[in-house]
Amino acid sequence: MSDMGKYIIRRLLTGVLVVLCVTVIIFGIMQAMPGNPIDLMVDTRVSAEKVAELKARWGLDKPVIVQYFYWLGNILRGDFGTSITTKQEVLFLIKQRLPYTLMLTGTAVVIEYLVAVPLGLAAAVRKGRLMDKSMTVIMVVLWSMPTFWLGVLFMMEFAINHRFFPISGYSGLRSLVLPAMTLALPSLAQIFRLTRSEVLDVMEERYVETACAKGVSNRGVLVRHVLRNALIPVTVTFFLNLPWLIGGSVVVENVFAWPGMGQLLWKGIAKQDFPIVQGITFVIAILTVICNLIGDIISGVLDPRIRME
Amino acid sequence: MEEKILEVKDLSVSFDGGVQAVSGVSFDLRRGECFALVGESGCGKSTTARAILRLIRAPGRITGGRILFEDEELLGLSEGEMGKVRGRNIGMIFQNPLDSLNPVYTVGSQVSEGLMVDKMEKAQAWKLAADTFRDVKIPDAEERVRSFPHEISGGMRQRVMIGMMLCRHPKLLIADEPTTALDVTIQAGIIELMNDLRHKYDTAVLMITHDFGIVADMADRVGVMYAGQIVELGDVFTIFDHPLHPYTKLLMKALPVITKKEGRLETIPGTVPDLSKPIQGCRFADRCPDACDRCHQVSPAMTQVTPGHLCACHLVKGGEAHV
Repeated sequence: MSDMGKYIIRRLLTGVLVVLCVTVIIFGIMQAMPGNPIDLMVDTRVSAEKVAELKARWGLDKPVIVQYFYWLGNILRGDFGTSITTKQEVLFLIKQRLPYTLMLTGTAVVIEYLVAVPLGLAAAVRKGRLMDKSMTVIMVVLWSMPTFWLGVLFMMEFAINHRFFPISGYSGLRSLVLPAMTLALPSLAQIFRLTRSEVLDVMEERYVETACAKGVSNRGVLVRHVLRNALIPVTVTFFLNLPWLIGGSVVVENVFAWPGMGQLLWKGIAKQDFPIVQGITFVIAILTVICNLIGDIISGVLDPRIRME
Repeated sequence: MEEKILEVKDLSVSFDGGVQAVSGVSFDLRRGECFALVGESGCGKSTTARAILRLIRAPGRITGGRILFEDEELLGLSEGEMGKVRGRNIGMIFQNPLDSLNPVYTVGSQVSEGLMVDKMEKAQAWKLAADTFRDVKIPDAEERVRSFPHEISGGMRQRVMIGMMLCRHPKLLIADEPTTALDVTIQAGIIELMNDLRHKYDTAVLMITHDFGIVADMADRVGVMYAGQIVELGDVFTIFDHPLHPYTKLLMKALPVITKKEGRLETIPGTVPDLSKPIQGCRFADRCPDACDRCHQVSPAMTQVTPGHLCACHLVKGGEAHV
């Protein structure tokens, strides 16, 4: 088998292992929480025998390890339980909302990458000049802005003062613009800075001088040698950041009343709806692992040295 | 006299803050000849080499002089025209082969990239890359073209670099300490290879080194650099047998001699002057055992001692300057 094939299989196995660890942590947190579901269900006047019977019915009298495997089995079959507040299946709720969250973060990510990488490259090439300095200042400002405030600012300017976009909710693709911008801008600043510094680092590399000495055009050197190498850490960071974006979308979704998973999570936390919180945490954990996996595989594709490790 | 292919006249390079890394360096290379620039680290020999290909990066800048390659002024060319000189007419190999090759491309594709700059078809370029690998004596050439740089040894990588720069048959090859980063056992092979190929393709070589062993093996003529200036220049036998400049003499004494049974390794006392400040008089005066008042006041000019042998020292007789 090729190096690449072996590498991907190794990464996949690690990913599965990480998911298992995550389930242990989520289950552990559930166990660590004070009280138990039966006490929440029944009145204090119910007899001890009745409570014990209920516990037995729900499997809560079994050792923790056994309970974990029951729970894991349910989760793996897609049974996340039912919401305490709405009595709907958690999986159904997540399925309904996940596409919106993915749409929002996906758009934000595309904006981010398409804007940050070319700007970072341009700033690096013009290091120390006006364009570089002003971009750097703008990016620091963007990076320091809290998303909820940025979101409200956009809303005021582009939805209330000028009615370019809907204020909130989802009523077609135009609704996507403001929340996606709000989500993209702060991390765009980060990708910009990373791209700029990586490009500057790679430009110092001896192999770039070799390429120049071969007579390769400036453009060729910049694209084939500098950018090609600088994009390795940028791409990896990008995928490592994706879960952060999904996490960040919890805030943005609430500001814009976006019908995604983040808003569901927010409400779940507020109403102590544990099955929902656990379900969404699990889904975010899975997404995180998948993103890391993709990041690893792509860095293996981009950098032949990594496959060898 | 044979045709000159490279003439460097009064070349000066300075870095931000006024550090004069190279000041007024002049030398020339004839077709097929090997000229060695020797000197300690920081004397400006690598900077001189890079200046010829105009690879000096900001904050460095060529502040004066002329560089004539086949009677064409390189300093007057546009960046695009300079790209046609680099690699095609003048090749360059660097000190450390470990980081001179791009880690993400196969060595074959990096060799063929240069050939494709010359508008060669890709398939033909790859075929020629494999031929080149045989030329530089890399075993299993067809296999090795598909290797990544990290999969082959340092010596092999330097062979790849040499092949990459010689496969387009440039008229001049600049070699910046090509063996310094390699094991001593590998060095001899690389020097032998360079010697073979330069005779095979009649390539002139500008060798940058601090190793007099390499000078003796390869060079026809030698320029000794000190603190950004050439202080003595002549053919290799003259420099080895009759060095005139006190610095050259001390360098020769500092060479370890295996035949000598006892004694300590000689060193040159003192340090290289700070090039960020203007220096009055001879740059070597502070370390020179024979320096006189005049040495501290007036900078000596390069003067011909015997035909082809130049020296910049007030104490050397035969030139127009006398003590």
